[in-house]
Amino acid sequence: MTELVIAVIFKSIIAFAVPLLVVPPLIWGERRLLGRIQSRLGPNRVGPFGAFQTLADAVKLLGKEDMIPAGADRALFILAPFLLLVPSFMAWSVVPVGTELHIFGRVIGLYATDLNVGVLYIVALTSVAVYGIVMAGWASNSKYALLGSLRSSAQMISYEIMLGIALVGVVVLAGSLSLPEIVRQQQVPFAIPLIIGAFVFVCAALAETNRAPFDLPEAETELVSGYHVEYSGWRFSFFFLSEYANMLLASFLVSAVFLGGGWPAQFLEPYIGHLFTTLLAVGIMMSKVFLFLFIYFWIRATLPRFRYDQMMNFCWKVLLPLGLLNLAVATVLKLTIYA
Amino acid sequence: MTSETLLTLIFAYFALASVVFAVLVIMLRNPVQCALSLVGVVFHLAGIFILLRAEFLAAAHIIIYAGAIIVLFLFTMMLLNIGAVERVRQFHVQAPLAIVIGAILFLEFIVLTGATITIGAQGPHSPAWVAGQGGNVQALGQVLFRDYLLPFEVASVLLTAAVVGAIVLARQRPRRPRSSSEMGVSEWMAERYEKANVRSSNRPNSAEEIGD
Repeated sequence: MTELVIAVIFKSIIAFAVPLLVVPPLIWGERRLLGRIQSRLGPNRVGPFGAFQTLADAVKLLGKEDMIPAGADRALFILAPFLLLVPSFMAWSVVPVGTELHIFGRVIGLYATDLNVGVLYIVALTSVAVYGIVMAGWASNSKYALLGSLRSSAQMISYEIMLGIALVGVVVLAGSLSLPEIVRQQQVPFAIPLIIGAFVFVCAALAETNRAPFDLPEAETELVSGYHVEYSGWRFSFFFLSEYANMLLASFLVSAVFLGGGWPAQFLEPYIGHLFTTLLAVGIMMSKVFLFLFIYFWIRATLPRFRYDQMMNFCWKVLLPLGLLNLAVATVLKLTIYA
Repeated sequence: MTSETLLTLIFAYFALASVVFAVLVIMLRNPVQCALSLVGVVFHLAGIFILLRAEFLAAAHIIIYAGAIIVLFLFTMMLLNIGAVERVRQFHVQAPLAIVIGAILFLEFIVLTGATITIGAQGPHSPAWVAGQGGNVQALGQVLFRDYLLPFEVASVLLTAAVVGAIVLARQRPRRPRSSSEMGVSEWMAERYEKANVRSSNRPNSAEEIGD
């Protein structure tokens, strides 16, 4: 019992620490990469290759005056960034880094918990994150923030449906809602039979995390930013942090659900033994995650931003039919090849 | 502390918190804060569902109520004049009716729980049966898509009809008066002259004659 409790506490700490520790180097990496792609230098002053730039920015944000606009609903204004941040960290408790590790006569799951409704849990948390956006815009008592929050929450509500529809195909093929089980079921990564679903999922993940080309809240010049226009200092950094934590989460999900986690390491188990297979699988999983993050940054560097109506049309007139087609493909495959 | 007492404590928290939030929903004056309290109720009820080992129900509860329905409430309320709404009387003529309905629901609740406790009345889907199906997601799937397939399909057709109905009601009328930007110049001029009651003999003959 105590052993179990210690394991749970340890895993929970890891699940919370990873996004917190990975985000600052991630922001630096993104800015360097954007610089490379756009033929400029990027941050290169603070520390070697500018590696401590994010730290310097964080200190600057923390040192700024904490502004709350006059006429704002103080309680909700303060609560809103937390409403956005908490779900994005809660979701980490079901994200698998690998499957199981058998060591010293114990079985250690490489995930904080194997929830039997893991997929639904993630969908539920993404659907709850919209409250942070709604409240941030409304509590600011500013018409630009209010309109921005209406825009962003409509975007999130629409695209979270596409996220769910893309995942339904995977659930049909895997026959389970638990994420480690979905990883185990992939003899071939689901991205191959369900390529359409993978496309829908990646697009929906980009939109859910408010990343380019769906980053309307970042549009200062034409839309006066969005729901967080009245936020400054460390409260603003919370929005920033949750965006990057969500992005990392989306990368882990794509790697686990569509790219097969540590696939194809499991086929090497008879040759190199269990321990090395597991370590290799975790390494492969992480490289898939970083590959996907790279694609995220690449898209941001190259694609122009959608106009609002184009974004909504793309969601309902392109992604929804594709998602339904993907579901049909998954059903046919389940009855034939995967039967 | 045994796990039994721990579970009881967790249940007590969820139950108490959901009642407190439910009271806040009707007592708070600001409608946005009321809606947020309703979210609190939904979350704590989901916690109770998880304690009952109904994880699917808990997740669906949050996705549908917190993620969709209450967000729509908030959407509507954000565009209202909250200041005016806050001054509206909070308890009005519907209060007696609400008390009667509440009493009936409470009575039903007492009868149902009383039957379970005193005579041990149980439905066919006992915890043992659910475990035999391999978990509550599988059990729910069996019940919905095998035993109650027809009602399920009827409900889905009903929902589709409601969606189509909403779109038809919200659609713009196909024939609407054209705005001036869509008219040609001569047409626009003719309309202006008509409004200004200029006699046709005094009008220029065409758009060219106006001298553009």
